[in-house]
Amino acid sequence: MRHSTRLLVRIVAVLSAAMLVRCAMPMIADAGGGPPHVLLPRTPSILPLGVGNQWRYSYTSYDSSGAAHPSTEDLNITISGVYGRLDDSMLVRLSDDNFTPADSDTYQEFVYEYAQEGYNQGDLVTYRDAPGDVRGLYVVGSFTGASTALFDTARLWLAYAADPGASYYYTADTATSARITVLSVRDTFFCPYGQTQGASPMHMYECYLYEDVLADTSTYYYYNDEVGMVGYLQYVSGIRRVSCMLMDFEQSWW
Amino acid sequence: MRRFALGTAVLIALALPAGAVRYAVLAGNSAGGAGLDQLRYVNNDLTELRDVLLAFGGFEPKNITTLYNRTPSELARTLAGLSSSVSGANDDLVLFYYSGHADPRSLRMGSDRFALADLRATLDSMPARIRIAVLDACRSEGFTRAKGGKLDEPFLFKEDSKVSGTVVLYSSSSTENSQESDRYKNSIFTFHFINALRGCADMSQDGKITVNEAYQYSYGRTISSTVHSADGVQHPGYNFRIQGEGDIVLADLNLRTQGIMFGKGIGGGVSILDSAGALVADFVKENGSAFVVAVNPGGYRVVNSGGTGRSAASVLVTDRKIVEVRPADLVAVAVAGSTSKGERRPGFCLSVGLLGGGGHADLSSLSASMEQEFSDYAYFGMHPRFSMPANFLRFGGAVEVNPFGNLVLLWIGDGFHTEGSARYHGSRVNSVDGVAYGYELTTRHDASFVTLGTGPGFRVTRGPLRGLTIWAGICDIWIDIRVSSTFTDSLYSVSNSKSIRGGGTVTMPYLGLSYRYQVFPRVYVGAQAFYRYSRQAARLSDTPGYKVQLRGVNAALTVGVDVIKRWKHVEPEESEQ
Repeated sequence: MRHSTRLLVRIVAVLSAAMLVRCAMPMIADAGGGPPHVLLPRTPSILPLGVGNQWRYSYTSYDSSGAAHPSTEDLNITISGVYGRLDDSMLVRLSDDNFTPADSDTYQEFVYEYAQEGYNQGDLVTYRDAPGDVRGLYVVGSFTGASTALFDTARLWLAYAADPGASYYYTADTATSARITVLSVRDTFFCPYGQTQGASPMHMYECYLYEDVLADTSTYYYYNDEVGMVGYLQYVSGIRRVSCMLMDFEQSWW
Repeated sequence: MRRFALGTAVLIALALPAGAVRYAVLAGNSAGGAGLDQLRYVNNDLTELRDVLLAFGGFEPKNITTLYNRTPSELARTLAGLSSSVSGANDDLVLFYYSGHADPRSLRMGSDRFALADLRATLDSMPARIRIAVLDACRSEGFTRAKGGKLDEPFLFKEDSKVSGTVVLYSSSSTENSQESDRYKNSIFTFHFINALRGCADMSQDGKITVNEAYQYSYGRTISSTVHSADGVQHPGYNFRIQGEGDIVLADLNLRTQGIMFGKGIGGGVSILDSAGALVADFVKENGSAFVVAVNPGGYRVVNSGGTGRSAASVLVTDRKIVEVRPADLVAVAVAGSTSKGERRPGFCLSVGLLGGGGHADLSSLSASMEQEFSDYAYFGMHPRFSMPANFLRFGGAVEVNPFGNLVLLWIGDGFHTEGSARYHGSRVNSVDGVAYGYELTTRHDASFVTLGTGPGFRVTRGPLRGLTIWAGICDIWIDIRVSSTFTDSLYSVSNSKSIRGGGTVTMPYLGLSYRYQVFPRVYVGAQAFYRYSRQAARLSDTPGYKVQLRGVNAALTVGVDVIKRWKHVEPEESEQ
């Protein structure tokens, strides 16, 4: 679990840059009953945002010689909650009891809890594409248990949609900033997850490829706009140290 | 061979002495109780024999009693009443005739029985000078509705019978069936016995038909009529115990009032059909003698099957006239749809067989469906192939039901299986680190196809193409497909496997041609070829991504058993053109 924790730290670091802009208008599921959270907002983006979304990854670490660790581990990421933002400092946690689609205009944007499953803390993310914004996924704060803390400024995490070559800095904290570059918007990635009924064990996705460079560590993230992150590779001083591949993805609301 | 020989002594015709009275009891029953077929022509037997006896036998109508489908008690009362009427002093003659089912100990009259011992005792006690019993009854089974039950000893009266002054003629020997004929519309033995009395048996050409002549004629004709019967050859027999020398005249053709004479020069088989097409008489005539057959007034068709072919003449018989048919009167006729005398034709038949052979089906559409699913692996330089053979072995079974004639219903099932596996290696340079990583894909597939076809067929039952059948119908093909694969990615150190099982049903029409040859009465071998047609590949219901095109040809050798097989005995039928 040590590797999973380290990955989570990394993900949290990536998610910690923020810039406050309006979020995209949420998609609202139809009323009239259905599974839990059916009425809660959801927001399509390069990372599909919706309460209950859950990703399971196969995580492999490598030593400094590039040899793989003998065992792989599962890493589970989930969106555990959603908030409605009333103003710059006010978040209201939404539930099936206090929210209906008719309330959507009440909030400036919707903010989602994004964290490793089983951990009681993580980041608050939102998607913004309003005019004047750099379109993309932003980290606007963090949460621990039921308490939330908003950053002064939202931090751009994943630019989307973006042009190849777009580059920006993502500041995880006040001391360090990672340089993120959009290497490709049509890269290819194969992973086991797929909705098809066929016999193929791997399925191909067209992805955005983000390069995240922080000191001697370079991480390459593959994101598909329907599935989210399908995998990533991390190199330290040019040596592959981590690989991660999506094995399963569940969307609770469609 | 049991031949009738009433004695070597001089036969003195026992004509119809003055004062003698002839009595007859003609009994018959179509039913024989549980397990025995209903007989069709018992009433015909009784009616036609009565007519002949009245016309030529010297019987008065008041002295002939006909009992059709009556009870044993009614028969017993009739025989008892007859005993009181008969007189031995006047050379009276009593004829008892029975047509129906029987078993070794009794006449089976519907669900009741009349003990043969009682019949024998009753006949023995009659004071008549001559007592004649003609019994057309024996075992019964099959389409010919043979009569009687299973016999474990010679039928009716045993050889040591003490009956005195009694002649018994019976229609078949101990273990044989007596048979009816759809063509004659009589029991076969009775038909020939009646013909004998009409004059066909007048070998001495003296105008009198004796018991000896009637028996010899009936004996020969019954054997020839049943020699090819599925129920076996029927051998009539006799039991003769009469004191004194002489023969017994059963019919005096001098009493006849009208008939058809066949002059010298006409030889071979002769059939006389009435205006309705019913066969009245059927006999073989010697070429060098004249011959008279007594018939009722009316129009007749005479058909002669001689050595040079078949010829026919129309004859109008008027009251109290003898019409002669001369060779010149016969006009050659063509024959259509005729069968050889005594030919067996299959009746109901249920066959079960096995088949094995080969087939051809273009499964490329199914292969292409699978390959399309794996086409993305070209990214790694891999091009999986799911090859399936177009030619395959097939094994199965078939059930045929031939309810009648040329119609055959078929249920055929067979199947074949194909499978394959492969391993593919690829490599690709990772764009982020510039290193070539290896990839491996293994695949395995197997597909099973089970076909169940059903439909009618037309089978040729005669001629050189006998056994050839043309089929048309619908077949359902059940398809079961399993595909499994494993992909190993060395860049991400991930290996993932997946397997699916799917399939569906495809329905398509077929045409077929088969031939079967009967190597034993119930065993056949054969060959068959079927063509299945479909215009386009069908999409499998369980696996929508897969399409399959099963149009193709199957061929197989077959071997089978006729589990249930019945034959019908077919006599020749003339059709004039």
